[in-house]
Amino acid sequence: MLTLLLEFPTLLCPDPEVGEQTAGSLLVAFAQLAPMPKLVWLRCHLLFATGTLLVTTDAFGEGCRAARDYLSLLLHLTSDLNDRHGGPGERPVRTAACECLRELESCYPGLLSRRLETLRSLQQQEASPAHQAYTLLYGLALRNAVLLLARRRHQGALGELLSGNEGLAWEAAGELGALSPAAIDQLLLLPSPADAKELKGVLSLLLDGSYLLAPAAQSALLWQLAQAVSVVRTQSPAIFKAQLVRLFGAADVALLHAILQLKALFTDSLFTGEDEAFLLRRLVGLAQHPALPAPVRLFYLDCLIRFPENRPLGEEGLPVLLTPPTAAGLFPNLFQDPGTTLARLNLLGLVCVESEGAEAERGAGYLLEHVLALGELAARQGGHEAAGLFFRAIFLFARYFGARTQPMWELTCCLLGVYRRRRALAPNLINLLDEAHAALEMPAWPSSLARALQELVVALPLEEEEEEEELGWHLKLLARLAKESGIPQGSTVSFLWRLVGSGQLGDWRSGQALLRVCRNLLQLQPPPALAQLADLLQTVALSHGDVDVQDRARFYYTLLTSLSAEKLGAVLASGDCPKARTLSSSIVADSESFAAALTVHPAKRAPMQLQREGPTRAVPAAPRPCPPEQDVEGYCQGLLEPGDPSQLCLTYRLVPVKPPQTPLFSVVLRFSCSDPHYEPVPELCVPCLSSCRPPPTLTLVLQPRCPYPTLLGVSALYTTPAGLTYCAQMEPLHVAFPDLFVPLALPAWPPESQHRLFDALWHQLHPDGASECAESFLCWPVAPQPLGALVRDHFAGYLVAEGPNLFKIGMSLPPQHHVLLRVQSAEDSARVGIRTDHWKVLPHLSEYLQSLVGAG
Amino acid sequence: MALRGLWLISHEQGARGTVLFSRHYPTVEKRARAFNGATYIPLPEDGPFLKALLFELRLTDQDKNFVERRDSCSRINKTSVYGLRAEGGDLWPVLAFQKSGLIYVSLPLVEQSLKPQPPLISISGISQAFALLSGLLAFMNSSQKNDSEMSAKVGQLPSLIMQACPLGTPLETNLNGLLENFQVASMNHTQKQPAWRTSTYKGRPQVNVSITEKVKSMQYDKRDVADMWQVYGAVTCKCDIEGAAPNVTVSLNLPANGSPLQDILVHPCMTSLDSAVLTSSSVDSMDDSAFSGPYKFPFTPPSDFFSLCYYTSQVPVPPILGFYQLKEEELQWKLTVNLKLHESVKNAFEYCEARIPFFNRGPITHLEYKVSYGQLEVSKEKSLLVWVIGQKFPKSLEISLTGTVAFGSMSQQQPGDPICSGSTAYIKLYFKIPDYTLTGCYADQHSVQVFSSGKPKINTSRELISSDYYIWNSKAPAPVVYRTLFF
Repeated sequence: MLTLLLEFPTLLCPDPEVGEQTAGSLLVAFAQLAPMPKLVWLRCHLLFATGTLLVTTDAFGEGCRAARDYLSLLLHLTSDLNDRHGGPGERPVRTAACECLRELESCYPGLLSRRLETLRSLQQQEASPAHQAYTLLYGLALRNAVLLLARRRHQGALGELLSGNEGLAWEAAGELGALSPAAIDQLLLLPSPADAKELKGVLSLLLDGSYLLAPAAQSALLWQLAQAVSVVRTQSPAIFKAQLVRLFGAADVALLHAILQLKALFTDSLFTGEDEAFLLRRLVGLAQHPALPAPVRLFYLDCLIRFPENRPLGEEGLPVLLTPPTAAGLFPNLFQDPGTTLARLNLLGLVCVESEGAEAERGAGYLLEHVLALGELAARQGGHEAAGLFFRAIFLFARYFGARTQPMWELTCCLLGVYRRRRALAPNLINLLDEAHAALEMPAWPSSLARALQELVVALPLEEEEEEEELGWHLKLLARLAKESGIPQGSTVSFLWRLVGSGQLGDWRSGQALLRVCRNLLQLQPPPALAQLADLLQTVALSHGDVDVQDRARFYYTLLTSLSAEKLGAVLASGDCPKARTLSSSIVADSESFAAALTVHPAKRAPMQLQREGPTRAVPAAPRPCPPEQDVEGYCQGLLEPGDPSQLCLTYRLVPVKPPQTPLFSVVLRFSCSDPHYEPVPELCVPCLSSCRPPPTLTLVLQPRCPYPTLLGVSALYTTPAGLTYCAQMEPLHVAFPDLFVPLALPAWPPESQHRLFDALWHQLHPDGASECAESFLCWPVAPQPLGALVRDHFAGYLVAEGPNLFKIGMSLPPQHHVLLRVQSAEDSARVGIRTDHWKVLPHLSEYLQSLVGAG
Repeated sequence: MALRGLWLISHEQGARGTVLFSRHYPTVEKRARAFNGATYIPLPEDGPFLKALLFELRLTDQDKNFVERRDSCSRINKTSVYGLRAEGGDLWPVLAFQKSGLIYVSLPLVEQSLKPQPPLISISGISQAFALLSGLLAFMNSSQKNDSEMSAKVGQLPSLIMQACPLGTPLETNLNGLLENFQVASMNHTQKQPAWRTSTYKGRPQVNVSITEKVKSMQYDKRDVADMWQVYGAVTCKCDIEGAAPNVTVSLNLPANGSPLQDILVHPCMTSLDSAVLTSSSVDSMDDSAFSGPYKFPFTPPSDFFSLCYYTSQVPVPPILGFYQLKEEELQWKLTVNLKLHESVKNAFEYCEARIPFFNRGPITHLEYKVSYGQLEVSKEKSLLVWVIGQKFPKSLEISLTGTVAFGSMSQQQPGDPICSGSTAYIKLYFKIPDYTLTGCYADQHSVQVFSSGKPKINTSRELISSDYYIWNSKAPAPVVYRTLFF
């Protein structure tokens, strides 16, 4: 539980109130534990947990009872000096109490700044090993007090501060972590001579006893005191001088780091030029000292590069004193770990490139030799570790010596040799080309490397059976090289030709790899060897074994042969960078919904519906001239002859569904036939659909293959004002059987002739068994009077002739069928004779006719 | 000056890592948030932290040939400090180092904004992290033999870290020393006791000083490549002396013809140091006026064993000079080895042998040889010849081995080595000479002064051990490890 409170306090106590309560309970628990040796560590743990809790839950403050109790407990515990009351067994608890106070002072700088005198007297009197905790506490409190005083520009009060013996500065609890060492160079304190003398006395005592502290604590104390001294302008940093020799010799990394920090802070006011030279040589020695662990040596190497010089020449760069002879011991060798090799290569590269003369030249030569040796290992060993080391070494070397032709040429040869032996290093080579292009100011070397690699690959003989995987690496490399505009690509195309000719590219993978090379070639400006490339693509499109590869090759071929070079590059670039495609789309591209705008979103309900408007209209197949009356037979033949298939026109209004939506744009209605009796229905477009405008009228043109009723599926695609495109399914459209009725093209004859015409038709449709003609009868239980109304209601447009109690009705059913009805009234019912030249419509027809009387 | 977190991770090759121990410091975390401001990256939980760390250390996706984020040539780590990918950005500076299947990790507090990234040298917490992790490493590697001992050590960590670094600020980095701290001695109050001297000794005073020198060498027997040899030494001490803070001075002496000690590193228990001790450095070109002792080290000793100092030195000649020739002649390899002990070196070895390994070849199928001294053995794996020279070189101080070897066909069991391909080959010498140092450095009864009551018993010892002592085949290319810019 205590461990949880110590490590994850805010998980258990999310707010200050809970924090305060829990801290209170922990303090009660502490008070109840007797100071027994067994319980020492539990009591320490309680102290640490309470402090952590108060700080992290933000409960700490003057208003918090637990915080006040905690602090007085800590101060009480620390006041038992030299094991006087508690005995040596209680020493860990005192140490813990000091450490808790130190942590509070770290979190709230200045909290103890009015009690410096008390802390000093504790620090001086304590003689047991616990004095380290008292010293660290006093050191930190002193540093914070001095820095805060300097920040408040409250001059002259240093003496008061040092002899302060008052309460706690609770106001500090509001300023968390406000004292960054990064800002101390702006602080300044000019104390009176007496105050300065007192401070000097305090500092000297602390420094003289500093060797009694463990190295980590010692380095912390030195750094705290150094910061305090740096703001007190009247205090010379020479006060640290007595410690320097001891620290120079120390094997401990924290102590040497403390020296380097002192050096950075005080420069020549503490370190003479000679000291500086000595420190630098020492650092070089330590960076290769066999007694030190490798990570520490690497740290020293890093410190060498950032060595705080007394008079630096620039912001960054090597110390002037670090010359090739000084650094000669730091050359990398093959027995080192990769980290050391690279760090040393980096340092020596910097040293040799920034120096002049034969030594620097020889140094650069050694480095090159080393990189070449790494290449040999990478080629022999394989594995990503050796390869990684080699390519990183090359990258570092190229960064420093990239402009030197001779060594870079040797490196190129080495890389070619390595690639010859390890094709799987193609990704590393590609990565090297990319990174070198990006990193080098003058990318002459990556270009020449690319050229050499291309020459190597295209000259490879293909007779010997290449492993398929190896071929893949070649193509991968060629694809990257095809992006280089500086190298002539004609030979690449020839190589691809040879490859295609050799028939080694059977499968999808290698085909795609080949096409990737082609694609990159197409993107070059201007595309190289156009004719050859086009031929190649065509050949692949025609002869490759994989359909997908064929298609893609055909696509590239089409693009290549129909687009200008500029457009070609722009089109092909789209996959990688949408921004480069068109400038005009940049506004859209910049908006976050760019992707959304390109996607069609499904909508659950269509915000519109189609309403039927008016009866079916036929599209007249062809206008007929009015024939003479005598030619009844001829006209009859003409009517029944198969002519152009006629179409049906259904009129609808497109109405927005309530509640009225915002206007919709570019509404496209798509229809799908549910059965094969109709030709596909063309889609309809409405530019804008708004409830403020009259609903647009749409004419749906149907072309039946057979005259049957059907259902048409309808989907709508539309764009909202937000720019998003939706797709929704609408209610299906029902094409009923009567919707198929089209009036016969009757001539303007007198009724007598119409009767004759109908009879002739009737006769023509006589079922003779051979044709599709059929006859049927039906009875309507309708009296004569309502019959006339019924017929007129439903068949007004199709009435051919009319006699007493007799109606002769005829209509055509697209595409080229006909129906004749002979309705004759007999007492309380009507007899309906039916003839048609397409017997399959009879079920639909009789259903329809029955429905008329059923409805009536 | 503080750490935000501390982790101990076990990672065996090919296996996934496990966090054996971790410690977060929430108060330091709170300060980090204030110091780093907008650049603050919160500490992830152990799971994601581990994943990001293993990725950054390139310990994941071992089977993949090339992973851009891992293998890109521009991702170069020149220190052991890493930026781990975490939610919101890179968690930096994570200090991590690996040793025998364990990864030691810590994240120091940076007391300023992280953008631009401040140089490591300006981050005070970084060396604190180094110190604590080095202490942890020393603790985990001290006398640890098997898994159960390791888990026992891991079990001790929570309470040890609670003492060494309870709230994120390292107070003590010698974890082994803290172990002894459990019995706390009472004290007299006359003199301040060093913080690292936790328990006080009762009994007869006794001081042990032992000097161990190691010698490295790379010999090529070539005109255009300089041979290299280097000596480095460590002086360890154990002082059993009564008192809270006794003063001891140990002097290391050099004979008149001795080689000056260079790059001396001393234990932090040193009370003061004569600057002359530090003047000689391996970085300087030959300086005849160099200080040549006696090297006085006044200190207050810690309770347990400690390394009083480390040094390096440049001796004029290697103790054993040799050449090795290996040539292929009609399917057989002809080998010649010649070793000569320098006359100034004490000819009394505890052991001395030359190992002649053959890499990237099949097993030895045929061997004919002639040795002028000692015996030649073939290892079980048939890939190594061991020339046992024994305790002494003959009077002539020169011995030789000639012979022919033939190898069978290459097989998986035979060892491989990336460097030793073709005829590139070496022999490696293993020897130990007791009561001898190459530099001549020694400590005796008179060189230990103890300023306390009672005459202490003083034990001194010294020895020379070979370490990486290679003689390369002079008939083939060999890797150069030492570069000189002077000819």
